[in-house]
Amino acid sequence: MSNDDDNGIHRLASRRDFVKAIPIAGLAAAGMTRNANAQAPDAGTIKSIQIPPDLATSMTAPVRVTSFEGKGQTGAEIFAGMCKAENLAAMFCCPGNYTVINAIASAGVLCYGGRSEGAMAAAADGFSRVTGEVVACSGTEGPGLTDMIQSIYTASAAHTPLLVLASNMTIAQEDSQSFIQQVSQQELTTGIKKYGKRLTVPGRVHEYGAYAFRALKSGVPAPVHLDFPGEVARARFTDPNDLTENYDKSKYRTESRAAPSAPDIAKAIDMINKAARPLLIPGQGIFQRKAWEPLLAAAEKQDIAVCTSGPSRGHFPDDHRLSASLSPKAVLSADLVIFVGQYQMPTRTDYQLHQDVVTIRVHPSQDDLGRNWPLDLGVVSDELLFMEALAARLPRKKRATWAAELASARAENQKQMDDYYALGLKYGSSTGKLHPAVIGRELYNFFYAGAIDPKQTAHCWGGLTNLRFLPPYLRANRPGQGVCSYYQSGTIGAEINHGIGIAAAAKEGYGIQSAYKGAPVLAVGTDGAIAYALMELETAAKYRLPLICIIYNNDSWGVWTLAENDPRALHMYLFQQNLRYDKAAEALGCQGAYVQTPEELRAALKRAYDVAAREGLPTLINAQGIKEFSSASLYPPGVNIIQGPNIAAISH
Amino acid sequence: MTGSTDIHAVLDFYAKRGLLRNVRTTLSEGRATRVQFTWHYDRTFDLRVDYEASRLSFTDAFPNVPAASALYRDLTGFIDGMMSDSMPIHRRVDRRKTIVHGELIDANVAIVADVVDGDFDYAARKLIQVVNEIYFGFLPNSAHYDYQVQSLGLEPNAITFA
Ligand SMILES: Cc1ncc(C[n+]2csc(CCOP(=O)(O)OP(=O)(O)O)c2C)c(N)n1
Repeated sequence: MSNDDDNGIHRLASRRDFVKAIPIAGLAAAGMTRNANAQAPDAGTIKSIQIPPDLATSMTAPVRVTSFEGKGQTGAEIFAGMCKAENLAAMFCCPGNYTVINAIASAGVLCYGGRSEGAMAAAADGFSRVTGEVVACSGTEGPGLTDMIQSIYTASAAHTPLLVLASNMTIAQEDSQSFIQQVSQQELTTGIKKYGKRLTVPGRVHEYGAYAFRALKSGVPAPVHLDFPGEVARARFTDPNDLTENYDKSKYRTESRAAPSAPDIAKAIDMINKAARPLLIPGQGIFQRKAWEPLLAAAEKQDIAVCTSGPSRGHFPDDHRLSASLSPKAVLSADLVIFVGQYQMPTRTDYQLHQDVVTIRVHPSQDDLGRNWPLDLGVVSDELLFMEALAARLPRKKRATWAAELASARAENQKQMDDYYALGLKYGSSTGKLHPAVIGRELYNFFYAGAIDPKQTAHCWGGLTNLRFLPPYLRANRPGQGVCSYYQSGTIGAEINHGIGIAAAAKEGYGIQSAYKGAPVLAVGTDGAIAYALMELETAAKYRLPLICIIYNNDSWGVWTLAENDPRALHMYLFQQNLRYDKAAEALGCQGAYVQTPEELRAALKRAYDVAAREGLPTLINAQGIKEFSSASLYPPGVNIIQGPNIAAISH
Repeated sequence: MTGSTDIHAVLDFYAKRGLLRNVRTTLSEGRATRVQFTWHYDRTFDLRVDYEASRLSFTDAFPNVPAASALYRDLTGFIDGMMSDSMPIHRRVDRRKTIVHGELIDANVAIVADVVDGDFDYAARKLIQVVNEIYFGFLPNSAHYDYQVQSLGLEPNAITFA
């Protein structure tokens, strides 16, 4: 029985059943894997890529329950128990820190093992960005931890609650130059973590675990880094009294949050009432605190425009009539701006707002209020409690002119996107290659304007020289649907690795992704980015993560234009032309497609969607452009700047 | 005269709102004032106020702009648009009070506000707004990225590409 609709799009409901029905190991047995070797003429002598049967056996092995009885528990097991009790959503790692990762996996936490620590740490970040949950990454001491640094930095710029774990040889070996891998870890993560500790006293493992989760789950989140020397990870405990502060999370942290004071909320309501064109900017804090329902209620009560900011998008739907994310021109008309949970504060020239705009800022702690942007009202409050108070107490009011201005600015913006698309088609037909505006439009048509529910597809994106052409097509219409991978860090490569984590969350239907369990995920990246992530596609294939990667291949680092006037420098910006990243992906067990026209892209998307939906098989679509499309003089309008608040902004 | 002529109060207001930095008066003679401050792209903006001529201008706001260029055409078109009916009323420059325009002198475009009704306060606020909108609304959406890098000191590594 077919579950395809008239457009040939496989329906999610049946896909769910399918994914449930066929375990990973069963896919290979059913001959459903795709890989380069399978089609090779010498297929008889060279075996095809296979998922090892041990994988499914391992992933379904019973959870191990440890106790103080008998042999007791190791320090690693004590900590793993805390991770379980704190609902650690997942862990992404490479082997190393063995005692700890084995204990965490055995305790029943969702775990993934991959090919490089940095990429896996970014996957953990991606998982967190679409769920809002604490996620862990882990690696071995020297080389593993240092490989993760870029991703920890990226997560810290996005205020991701990322638990960074790494082993440390032993305290006994310290300063002895004995064997390998020793490094003084905590200094390496200075400036990119909220809290960190090298555990040195075995009996304090629970106490420091509590420090870690208190930091991860209170206030403004950011990475937390614990490193475990062998003496702590392998210590054995048979008596709970040997552990300090060995009590549960209800005692070592609190869910109590700051509520807005009565005068503050009254003043805020007064200012909103008086404003003609209020604009709410719900940042990362609204997402972290899952405050989207009162946000929507408050906005609708008074026709307040909303333009989301932060690394995660969708906590206010792009397709809502009050969304200003695609109405940049109207944003400049706002006479009152209300920042709520804005964890990276812009300056007055970073954000495209009117020079006279009056400002309210709501933040969970006092210490950041007033930073960068002068305030007319600063409110210390938890984001959820503030939005609930606002939604409850704001009187109803229509702002028809403001709503009409938003709509007309949106139409004007759409007209500009249509013009770019027409230009992209023209450039495409003269070069025989794909312009990013055309890729964007095709993605939009497929994922948001066709047979697929426009709320379904979680996505992430990167790329820096195509901002005006492509990212505005990637819509976030529900919480956790969109991820700006370069948010505040600009880390090239993060997007594909984020996509792997997002696809893991989608496959599991974890937390807020549950309504779209098993749905294919879209990761849009660049040829610069794929170098940081290519090998990790093997991990995506191994775990059958439903990922569709689009690589915009312009044969170069897109910033080659910066060397246009330095002839001897240009070579450093160039790659070989027409590289086949799709073939490389096939060789790693994924499906690949090389596309140069809109028709080819359309067909490839359909194939990619189908194998992702039916089999969880990832696809890399290599979309061939040319480097000159980034040039403002050769193919105008070319590269540009996007300042927030905006759907394509990468900062604040 | 219908309004204030105290330009410094306007600039002080925007400095206190974090918009302008490092505001300093470099000339205050009779009916002329010259004030400099740091603003978009960390550039120094030079505001001349000529009370005799009822004129405020950002001199040298856009250097290296040939008269026959697309940039000159687009820029002056955008400034004209600030006074047009298509601009929402709350953002529009009321031409009965102030006329804004781009003036080309020796390949430099000055952004000028001619005060019609003596309200220098209004003219100063609107002139600030016009420049704000040029940097926020016009330049980012234009095809003049290279010009911004070459002549306005846009720092690609810092601003565009991280
Ligand atoms: C890890 C990393 N290395 C270098 C840079 C500096 N940088 C910013 S944009 C850019 C070029 C990007 O090229 P590509 O990823 O191919 O994207 P495109 O510009 O072509 O869209 C570079 C090298 C960076 N942001 N991140």
